[in-house]
Amino acid sequence: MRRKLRMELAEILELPMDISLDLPRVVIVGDLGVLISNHRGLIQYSRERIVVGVGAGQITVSGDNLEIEEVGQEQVVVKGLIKFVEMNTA
Amino acid sequence: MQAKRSVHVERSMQAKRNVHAKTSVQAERGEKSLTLRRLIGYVLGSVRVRVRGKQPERLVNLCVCSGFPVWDIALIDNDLYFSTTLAKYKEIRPLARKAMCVPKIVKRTGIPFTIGKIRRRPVFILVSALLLIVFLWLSGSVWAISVKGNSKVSRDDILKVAYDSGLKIGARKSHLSIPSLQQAIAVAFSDVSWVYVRFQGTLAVIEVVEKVRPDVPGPGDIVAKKDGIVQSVLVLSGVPVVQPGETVKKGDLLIAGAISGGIQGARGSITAKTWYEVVTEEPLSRLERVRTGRKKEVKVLRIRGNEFLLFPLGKMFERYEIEEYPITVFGKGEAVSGVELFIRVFFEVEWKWTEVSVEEAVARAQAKGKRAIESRLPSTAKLIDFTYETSGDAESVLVRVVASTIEEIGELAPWPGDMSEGIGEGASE
Repeated sequence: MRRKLRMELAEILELPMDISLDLPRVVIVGDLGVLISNHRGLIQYSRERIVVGVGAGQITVSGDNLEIEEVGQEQVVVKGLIKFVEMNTA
Repeated sequence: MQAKRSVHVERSMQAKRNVHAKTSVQAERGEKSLTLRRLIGYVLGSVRVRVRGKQPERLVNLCVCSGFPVWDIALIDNDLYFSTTLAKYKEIRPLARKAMCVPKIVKRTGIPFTIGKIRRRPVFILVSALLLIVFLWLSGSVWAISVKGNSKVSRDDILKVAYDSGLKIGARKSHLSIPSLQQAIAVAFSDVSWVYVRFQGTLAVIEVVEKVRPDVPGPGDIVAKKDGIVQSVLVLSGVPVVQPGETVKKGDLLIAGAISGGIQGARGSITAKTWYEVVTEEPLSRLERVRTGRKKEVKVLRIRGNEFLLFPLGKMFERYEIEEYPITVFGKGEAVSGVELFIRVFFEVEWKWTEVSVEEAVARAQAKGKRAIESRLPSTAKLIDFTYETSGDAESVLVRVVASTIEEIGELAPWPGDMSEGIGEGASE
């Protein structure tokens, strides 16, 4: 109910949804990299699969030769051959 | 728990595959393109950390939460590698304990480490400083000399004078006085009008500009180039032979160049009164073309150069003159561009002998004579007056026009080559 109210408010005020609802923002650059903003930390890391925690669940990036170029408090930058990006909500 | 299991499975698979060896090595060393972050990391010093333990991801998360800059995270053979700054790495121990991991520095990069390395090698610092001092000392010397702009004066002569003034290979630049060096070279060579010495690093460049002398005839006497009465004598060098008031003929010696005790060559200016004479003849009768009074008119239309007579012309005169008068149409000369309308008038003429009065003939002859003389006068001649003598017979008059002028009559007669030998430099300047 509260989430719905916030969504409506964001729509009325034309605010970005990710900021007003505290949602992650995922930017995919072709198959070269993924930028995940507003994350909650690294959950799993391997060369083929990276799982990053976000507010409402997890984002899974699958591919080859995956590397985390940068981890900051705000964003994670994943590089490598990106094949698959999945959002799992709790 | 499921997530943890998944991590283990992935890691064991990774260990078995052992593919992309090169990429793995690069990732281990953190060798990537230089970015601003790496530049800052290089300046402040950064470390590549290998993490071994159960939850290396947790250490990364803890580092991020504590405000550590973490980059280039890679997983190689079950070990997690990441880069962080040197300053932050010192605070990593408690976090590692919390995450139950063991961090270890595998590579150190950046200026702080480089300085540390250098400080451990005092001989290297000493030799470097010594080399720098030697280099600076050597760069303060002249190691090559170049001469530019000389064609008459030889390079070796200039270099010899420069050597005597201190400019030689190996000389200290700071010990050389450029103004005195320039002056020494300029004084040593009379053919050099300007000298500039400059340094390009260890190269000394001597730039010279040589004198360009005007092409004047060699020394000699000044002689008269025409007859006249000397008016003024101005001698710059030599001995005057004539005085004002004397009459001289063409070729007479005016200023002698040779004087006792040396040969110098004459220079000076001699002005004299000279005359120009012209005889002109003018006949007392002349053949003239006169109009008889008869004329014919015809209207002509000209369209782009093609003429059309608007009326037939009839029989034309044997000799005639033509005059044309345009006809204006609607107040304009040309109503249409390229189309003209005009009247062409033919005047009949005939040739007749007409008498010319003596006064008129004399005046015409005088004018003709004056024009002839004026065209012959040199530009330096100053005209004083004209005199006229008139004679004649029944058919024509003869006028003798004489113009008196004052002008420069001296001209240099160079001596033969053998006399000119041994003349000093200053004489011809």
